[in-house]
Amino acid sequence: MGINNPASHIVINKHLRITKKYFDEIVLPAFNDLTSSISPVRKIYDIAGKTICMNFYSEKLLEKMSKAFAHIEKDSADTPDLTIYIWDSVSTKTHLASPWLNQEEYTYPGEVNAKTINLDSFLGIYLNGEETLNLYDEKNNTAYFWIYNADNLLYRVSASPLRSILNWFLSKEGVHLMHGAVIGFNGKSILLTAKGCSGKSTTALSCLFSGMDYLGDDYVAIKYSDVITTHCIFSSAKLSPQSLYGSFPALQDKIWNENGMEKENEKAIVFLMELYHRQIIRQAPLQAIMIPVIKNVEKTNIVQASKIQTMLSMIPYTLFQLSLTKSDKMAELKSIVERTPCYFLELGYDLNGAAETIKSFLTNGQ
Amino acid sequence: MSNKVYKINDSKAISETIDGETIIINLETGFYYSVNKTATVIWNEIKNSNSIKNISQIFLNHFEVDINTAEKSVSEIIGLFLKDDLILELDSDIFPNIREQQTGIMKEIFIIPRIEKYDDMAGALLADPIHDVNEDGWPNLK
Repeated sequence: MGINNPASHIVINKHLRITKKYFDEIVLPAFNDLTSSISPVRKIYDIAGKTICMNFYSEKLLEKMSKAFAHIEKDSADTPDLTIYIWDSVSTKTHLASPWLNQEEYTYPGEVNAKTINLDSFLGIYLNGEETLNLYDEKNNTAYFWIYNADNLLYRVSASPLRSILNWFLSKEGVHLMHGAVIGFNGKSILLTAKGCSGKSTTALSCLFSGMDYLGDDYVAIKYSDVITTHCIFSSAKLSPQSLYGSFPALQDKIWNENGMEKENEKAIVFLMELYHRQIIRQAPLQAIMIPVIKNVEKTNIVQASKIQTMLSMIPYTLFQLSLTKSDKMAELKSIVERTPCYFLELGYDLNGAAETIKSFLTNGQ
Repeated sequence: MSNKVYKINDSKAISETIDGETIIINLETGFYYSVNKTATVIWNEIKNSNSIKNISQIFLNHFEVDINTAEKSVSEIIGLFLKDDLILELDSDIFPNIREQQTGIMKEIFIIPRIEKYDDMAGALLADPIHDVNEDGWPNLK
């Protein structure tokens, strides 16, 4: 038998929600085989105050998935709050049978974005498009990430790895992974939230080049407590090649996926930790939420936005891009919006001017 | 005027209200909606399983509006909610239980209830072609 079952089973091209039965009957035995023959490389990270251990059984996945976490790596013997096991079948020469071999028992019918019912303290999803298996066993504080061939890991997954698993785990801890960019200055931070191609990443990078702090440009975490704080989870930047070459020539020779951009029709990815480590900060109190809007004006302006406009910019993308997000996340994100001043960031032509406007906003304590 | 009872389609729709306005998300289709203040009154009454007649009476009691405008507005919005599967019509009637309010209470200016629909998340969810794995087996797709 080959590495995988060669049967030509029909696959529905959508995300598949995976049952605990598949985890118990298929994944755990395969994982036990793996651990009997291979020792992992162990990395420890501090993610929003939680100690997360990642055990890499594939060198290629270590190379591709650890760069985004470089800013939060730590040496620690603490008992991890979560341990994630990461491997692929090809490089480890191990087998994992597909979850749809026994469709009725191993996958849930219906739409994965429907309201989550977490009966077994277990969440699992096979993500169509990136072809990865993501499993979270809440009771045992463990998670499993698998891809058939590490060579096929998409570059965009390298920019923000393990999104589903981290989203599930952090939600339980009152920390919300969400779609947005965060920049900081003067010990405070601003969440930029909007749909794709609205200027989030460009604004965040222009702020970085103006000397401001950077906490992420695509996915960030927000912790709801007495003081709402933003947390940098992925120290990567993702930009269209045109924006990068046009606006940030200093990054041209730092693109990590130069060979893959054309192949995957992907954005350019730059890992910022090695280049700007002093400006990559782990966390900061949230001062305001801003919705970037590209305007045909010279000067960037900050104007009041309503709470509902902010919710519309922030919530649908977060809920739909992070699979199996519990629907109560919407209420929790609403609480953050209720307590935080909200604005439109009307972006002018001059990128440096935009950064200076935001810097002035944070300095003057509005 | 109908006394049919409507309720939220909980299996598909989630919502939150903030500053009197509401965001509704249809988890199945990916469509999402912003709902103004008067349409939010309708949505919140449907949360309590109410009828067009009762909701119209609530508008008459609290807003400067005539009965025809109130009933037409409520009917239209409920029609839109029904069309997009955000609410369900129950197979039962209720007796009108909202009474006309005594005069002398300051009423609010009536703003026509409106909902705005956004479809930019729907494309990703609707793509659902079927394909085979390739000769290397799962999960190598053709």
